[in-house]
Amino acid sequence: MTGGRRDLPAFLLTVTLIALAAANSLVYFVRLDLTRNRSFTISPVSRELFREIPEKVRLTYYVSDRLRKLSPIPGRIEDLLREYAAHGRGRIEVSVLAPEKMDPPVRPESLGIVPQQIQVVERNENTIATVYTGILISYLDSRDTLPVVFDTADLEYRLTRGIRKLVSGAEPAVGFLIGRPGSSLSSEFRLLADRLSRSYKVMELARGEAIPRDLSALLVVGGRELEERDLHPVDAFITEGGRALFAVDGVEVDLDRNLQAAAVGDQPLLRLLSAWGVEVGRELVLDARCALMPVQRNTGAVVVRTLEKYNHWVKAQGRGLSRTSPITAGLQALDLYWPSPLSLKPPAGVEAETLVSSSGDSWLMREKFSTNPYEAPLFRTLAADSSGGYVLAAALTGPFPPVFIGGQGARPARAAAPASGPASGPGPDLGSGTGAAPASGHGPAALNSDPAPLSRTAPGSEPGGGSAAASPSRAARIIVVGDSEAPTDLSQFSDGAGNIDFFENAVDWLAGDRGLLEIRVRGSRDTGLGRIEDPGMRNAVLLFSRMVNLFVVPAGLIFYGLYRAWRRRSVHDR
Amino acid sequence: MPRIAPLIKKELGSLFNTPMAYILGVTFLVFQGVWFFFLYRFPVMNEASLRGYFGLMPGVFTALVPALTMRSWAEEMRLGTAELYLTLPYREGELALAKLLASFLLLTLLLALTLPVPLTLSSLGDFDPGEILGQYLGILLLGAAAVSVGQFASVLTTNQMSAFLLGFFSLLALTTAHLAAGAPGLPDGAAGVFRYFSLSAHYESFRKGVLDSRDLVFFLLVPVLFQLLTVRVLVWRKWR
Repeated sequence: MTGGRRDLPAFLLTVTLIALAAANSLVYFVRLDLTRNRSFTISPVSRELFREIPEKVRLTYYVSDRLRKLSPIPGRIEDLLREYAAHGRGRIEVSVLAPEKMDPPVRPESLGIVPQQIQVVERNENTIATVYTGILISYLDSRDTLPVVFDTADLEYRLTRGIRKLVSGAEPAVGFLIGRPGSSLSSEFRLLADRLSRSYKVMELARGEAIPRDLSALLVVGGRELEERDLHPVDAFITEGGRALFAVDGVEVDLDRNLQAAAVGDQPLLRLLSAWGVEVGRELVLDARCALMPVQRNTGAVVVRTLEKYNHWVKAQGRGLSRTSPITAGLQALDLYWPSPLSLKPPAGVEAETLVSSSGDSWLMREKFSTNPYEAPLFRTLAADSSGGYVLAAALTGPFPPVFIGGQGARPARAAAPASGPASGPGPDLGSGTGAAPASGHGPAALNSDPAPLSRTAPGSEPGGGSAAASPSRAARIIVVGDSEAPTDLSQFSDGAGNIDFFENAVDWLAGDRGLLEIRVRGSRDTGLGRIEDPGMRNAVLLFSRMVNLFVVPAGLIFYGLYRAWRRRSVHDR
Repeated sequence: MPRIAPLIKKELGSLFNTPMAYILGVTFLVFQGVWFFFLYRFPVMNEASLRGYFGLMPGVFTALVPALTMRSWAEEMRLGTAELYLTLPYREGELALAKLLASFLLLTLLLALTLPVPLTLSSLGDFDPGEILGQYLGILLLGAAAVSVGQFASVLTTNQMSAFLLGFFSLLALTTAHLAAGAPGLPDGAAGVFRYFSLSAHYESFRKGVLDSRDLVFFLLVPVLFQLLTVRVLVWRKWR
């Protein structure tokens, strides 16, 4: 027997062991997520979900066999579902079904799963195939469907949210109070409403209507149409610990009248915010880092449509977005249209946090407004201030004083503001006669000396709002954005995909569902290349990297080879 | 391992003494750089990630690795030095392991020369070090698997070009096997086998920064299997 034949049994045994090890690895496996935010591992919120589930939740993934063969994504979706089951302590059950193989046949459309058409090449021909990839979440007699799932990026968020919604049986609600002239939820906020409707019941509130106590978040957009009486319920809602986002303008730009801009006068909503520590400047912030505006130019008989930089459409990104707040931490960019600066002077006990600010190369336009894109070269020459870094959105948390619903003769904020100021900063001194003008000097002229009593409404005269005047306020949350256009569908014209994300994050934060917010935020860190704001410096770094990696390193390798050859020849010659 | 250290040193020295290693190294570095900066257009993609840089590497390795390994056995066979080599006081497994490790070390060095890419770009954005670590680990494991396939191709023939072509087409098949899984009418079991043997499919998790034990085991078993096959061929040749 030759040596080769003697080794044959050992060889065959080793090959068998390798095959067994491979098969075993497919059954028992672990995953280690090296990414900083553990982006590909389910979060603690999802891992602990079983605690909230009294009965069994079933996750059924309907996926066409054909799609499984063509793409690795269904496999990853299945992995994620299995992770839910692994952490579910038997309360989450996962099954994967191919609709075309089921007996009796099931039409996934009847479960809410939407068929998708994909292009496949078969026998050298392009054909269209219909495939399914959707998840059915069932709990007791109720069910929810994720109609199309073909990405794991936000799948955990959608699953955890869906499971929670089914188990709790309650649907949180978000209300819009719109103060923009001629505007409604269906006419201007379709994108945002669509997105929010995935998680919340979205409703439009009539002006002056009582705000439901159980509303998760209130969005007040624009203030021109809101009278003082319309704001009484808002005042009561916040005073009693409600959550609201205010998107307001200090300067209004009329889209129907050739972008004419005018500073807002004495607006009740701005007075309300001023009393709560947020001054909205009657100025416009312009920024060198801006979005592109579609512009039409007539050159003789030819009409040319181009995209041009428009400094009034501020693109906040990089350092302009707070990395400490979950609302903006994972955001790539936020487009703000003709925004106004905010000055923060939070009342006693209220904490303020800047969420969004303009870049260092931004400036203010005051009184003499020029918004016409054809006058873009003039924009910088009209700068009233160019110190940059203006606050454009902020979040405030704490007990807010009643403003309109104060007791007999109450003046805004005076009644509730304690005598001693907060450690974090001075409270608004609305009664001193010096007004609430911000220290930075961007304050509106209209909100200065001796503001008139804003309301003399007797306690109890407003729905649910009366008792708040006398009792201490409960901790509330508000977000103020110095732009009422940002949540509208205008964002689709500037490619402002981050806008909807921002407002969705803001609503989640207001609703207090920090767990859900963290799921989305951790998977969406700022992956842009915006750390270096100066374009010249950025290009220099890129050039340096190209030089090093395309020339210096390869040249170093060549020189090393030449040096080795020279040394060998020297040794050989010797 | 210390026993075969002199063998590894000798093999590595002979690799560095040929212009081929430098030509391949420079071509690899320049190609990767041109791809990343100009064809993939990293600055325009505006993403602080090297997924684009590493995404092409499994494909690049199908040509690079056979070119690195084609000489190792085929040249010895052609020159007739293989017989001499096999009479050294080492077992066939140790001889084959020394050649495998020498080629793998050369590949590791080439990958180390790509480290200036993340280092010079890190100031531009918030790159995830965990993701980059996963990418390097994954490509090293994939490289080890590819080198073992290349070595096996080299031991099967006495002609360098044949060894290169055999290695190239074997790696090409292994890298793109997952695409065959989508062929119409293919039974599920066969599709699963194709998917399992795809190098790039197993590399995908590493590219995202995730270490999956299934991929790790695959990348460890492939070199073991091909090393075993290489030794088997050597033993068979010796006793023929």
